[in-house]
Amino acid sequence: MKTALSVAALAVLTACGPLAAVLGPRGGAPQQVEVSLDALTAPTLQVTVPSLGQSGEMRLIGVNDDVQTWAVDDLVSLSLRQGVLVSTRGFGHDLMGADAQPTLDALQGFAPDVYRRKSRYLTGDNHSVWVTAGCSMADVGMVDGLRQFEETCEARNDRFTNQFGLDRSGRIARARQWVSPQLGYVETDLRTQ
Amino acid sequence: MPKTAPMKRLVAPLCLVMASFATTLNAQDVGWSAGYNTFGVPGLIDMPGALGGADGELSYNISHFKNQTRNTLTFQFSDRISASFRYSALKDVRSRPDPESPVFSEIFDRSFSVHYRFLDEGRWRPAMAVGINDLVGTGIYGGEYVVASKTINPRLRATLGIGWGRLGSYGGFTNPLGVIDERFETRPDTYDSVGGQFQGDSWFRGDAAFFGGLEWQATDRLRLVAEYSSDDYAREDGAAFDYNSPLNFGLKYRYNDRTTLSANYLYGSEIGVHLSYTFNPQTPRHGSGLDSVPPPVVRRADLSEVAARGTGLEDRTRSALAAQGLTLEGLELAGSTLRIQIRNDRYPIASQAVGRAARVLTRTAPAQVETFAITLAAQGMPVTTVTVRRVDMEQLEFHAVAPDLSRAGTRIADATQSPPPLDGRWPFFDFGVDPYLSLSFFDPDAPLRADLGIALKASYEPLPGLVFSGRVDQRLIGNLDEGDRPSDSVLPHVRSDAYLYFKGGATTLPELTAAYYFRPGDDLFGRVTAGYLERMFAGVSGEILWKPQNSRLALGAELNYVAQRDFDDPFGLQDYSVATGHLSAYYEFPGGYYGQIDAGRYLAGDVGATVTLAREFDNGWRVGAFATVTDVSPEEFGEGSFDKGILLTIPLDWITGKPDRTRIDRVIRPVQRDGGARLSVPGRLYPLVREHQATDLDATWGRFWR
Repeated sequence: MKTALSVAALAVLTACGPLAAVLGPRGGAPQQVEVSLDALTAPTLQVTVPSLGQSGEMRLIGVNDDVQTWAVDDLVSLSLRQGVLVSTRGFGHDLMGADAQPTLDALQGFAPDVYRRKSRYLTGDNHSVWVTAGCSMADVGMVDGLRQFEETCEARNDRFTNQFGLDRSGRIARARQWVSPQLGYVETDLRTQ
Repeated sequence: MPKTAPMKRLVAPLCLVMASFATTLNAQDVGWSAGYNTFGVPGLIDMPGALGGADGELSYNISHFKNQTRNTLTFQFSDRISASFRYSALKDVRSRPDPESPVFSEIFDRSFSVHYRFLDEGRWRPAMAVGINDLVGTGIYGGEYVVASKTINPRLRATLGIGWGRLGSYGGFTNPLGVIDERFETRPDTYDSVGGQFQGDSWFRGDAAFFGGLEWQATDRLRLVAEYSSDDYAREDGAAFDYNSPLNFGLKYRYNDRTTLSANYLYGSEIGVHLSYTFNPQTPRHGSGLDSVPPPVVRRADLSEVAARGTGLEDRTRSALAAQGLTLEGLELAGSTLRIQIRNDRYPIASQAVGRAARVLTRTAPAQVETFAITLAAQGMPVTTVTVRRVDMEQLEFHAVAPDLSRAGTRIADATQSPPPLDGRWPFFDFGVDPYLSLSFFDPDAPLRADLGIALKASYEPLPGLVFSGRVDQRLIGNLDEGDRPSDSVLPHVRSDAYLYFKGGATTLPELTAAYYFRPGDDLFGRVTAGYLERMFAGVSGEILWKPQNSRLALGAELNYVAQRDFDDPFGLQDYSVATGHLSAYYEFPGGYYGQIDAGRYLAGDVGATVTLAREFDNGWRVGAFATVTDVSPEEFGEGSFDKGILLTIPLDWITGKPDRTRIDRVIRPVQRDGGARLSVPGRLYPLVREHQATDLDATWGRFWR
């Protein structure tokens, strides 16, 4: 029933059309960004939201330490700490904040078998709620030239599997990460087109 | 969810640590909810049950069967208590359950009811509730009950109850409460065409009868219900419809998470239909909203050279705030502190305005600034200063527990002084055109009347705190002017001539005022307003409010001298004038409950007090009720006996998901008379001040980072 409810909620969202209008087709010209980042090799982030059936390109709009914030105009955004999703805005059922370090450690093989990840959400009546999930990371081998990891997490009501594809330098180049029960996953691809 | 790559099932021992994800998401989600009966009360078909809706749930029910239509708004005021307001249209009904009494061709009946679950369901014990179906009405639906419900298996629930009054009319037996006192055995005749008086001396009196039923949740969406009704419909039998059997059968189909449609076979003769629209104000469709992306925080190390040096600070800050819907009113750079004053015309929740302003300042404030002091102003009057540490903004932007950590480093305090006003901020002129909808309920000739039109609003602020504003309404379409029931009130017609104002013309001037807002001292707020204050009265109004930050209690005093306005001449006055005013106490109880007492002199010169009780949600929703008792007797007051009604505030952004400060405010009175009528002054201080203060900011602090 939860899925039915979420789909209904998203159907309303889609019908209003913010994302359809927002996540345009691929292939837009690379955008000039205000902040220069030497480590940055890809000027755009390819984003797909499967539950909305939408995909498009996001532009870098901000850098805070090792977090990059990518957005389509001022309508929707994703923030990635070294590639791990820590925040979304503009989707409605957004991820308000999250800790990335346990996942980054696990990708490096430093984490225990089972570790905790904490995520924050904002309810419809403006209260912060937290979900602490128990996660474990598994190396599933090479896929498309990327070293593929799967992070399986379980919280009270949800079970989800994040996927990370690391390039030779150990950077998260491609990922599929869980946002919220209503939105499901977002897929990101940092590789230059 | 679609999968993008083949996934292997991982056999890893996963620990379930802790999940506190919004329980509100699941509460409405279970198919096995209480359900509402045709009276809009939690229950079976016509009979009540012991369970209730989820805490905070609001339900509108409309049901119809032969010659009876009931509209009910039910609010689950707390986990255990629900309250309902019902408006019923009854045709061919007798005033008393007696075949000899006269039959009315059509009556409109208003009733308030309450339902209290005093025992929760346990493994063996049932849930139990007690309820009263007509608290202050005419008594047509008067009935009381004690009921028990027990879930027998995951798909079957049984209910058994004992009823009095209407609910004790079929298969009745001598009241067992007679054991306590013999007086319980007879029910006084309470029929009262005026209505509005508590019928306490008849509750739980007279014969009692058993009722009960079974609910079977056949599928996730479909529920079958059978009940044995203890209501013999003696007022309707043979007139409105023919009563043949105490057994009712119903089919409830859950169309979606909010809507349930029912079809019922009632009393062995009639088919009835029932629609229930139920939702929880805590769970809007759009989650926490579709607000635009906030400006990312910029660390001092990453500031542009221009920003770091502070060149053009004022201009850059003003335009960056404007892009967030915030108006910069003043700015002062003193050492490592940057003080600004803002006016928020976009965000319904002030903590979000503060958060957006703080984000902007990380991008525009010179490198030496370590503290942002953001003053929130209402009508140019400073209310609260929120002092935020720049380092918190930089370090906590994406932190999992950012609200707690940032709040710890933030100071929220009273602001009596503004930073120096920005050049060019005043004088300030603003205007806008908005649609408006005026509604009038429960006129026996037309239960719902409405006007739709456009409102032209303009305001001019020559100095901080001084506001000239006006509003002109142009009716486009509507029938409010068709009301034609001359008032029979023996009091001065301070409200009951409303229909004459609607007849006054399609173009009206509801407001034209000069107001001054000021801070007389710490924790004190002041207002003086003069002019055409509302559609029916003009004059002067003065108010002082004491409301400290973090205080649940606020106190206020208001004094007005007003004259009644002409029905048609927008500037003319009638002979009636009155000095009216109130002392008010406002209190925020824990758990989102709100109470208010206003004591003083009302428009008709009567003296008394109004008590308001409401449930408030931290997204702006409010559901409440009020009652006013003055020295006007029930006879002088007329229909309804005393002034009362329900309050409903719906924030527009709850519906659209877009940030918008518009709130739909409705006061629904069963009947509007002249006793206990209070002046309506625009810009009263309490709501203006409270939304910017610590209690509200703290309750919604998570939105700071939105």
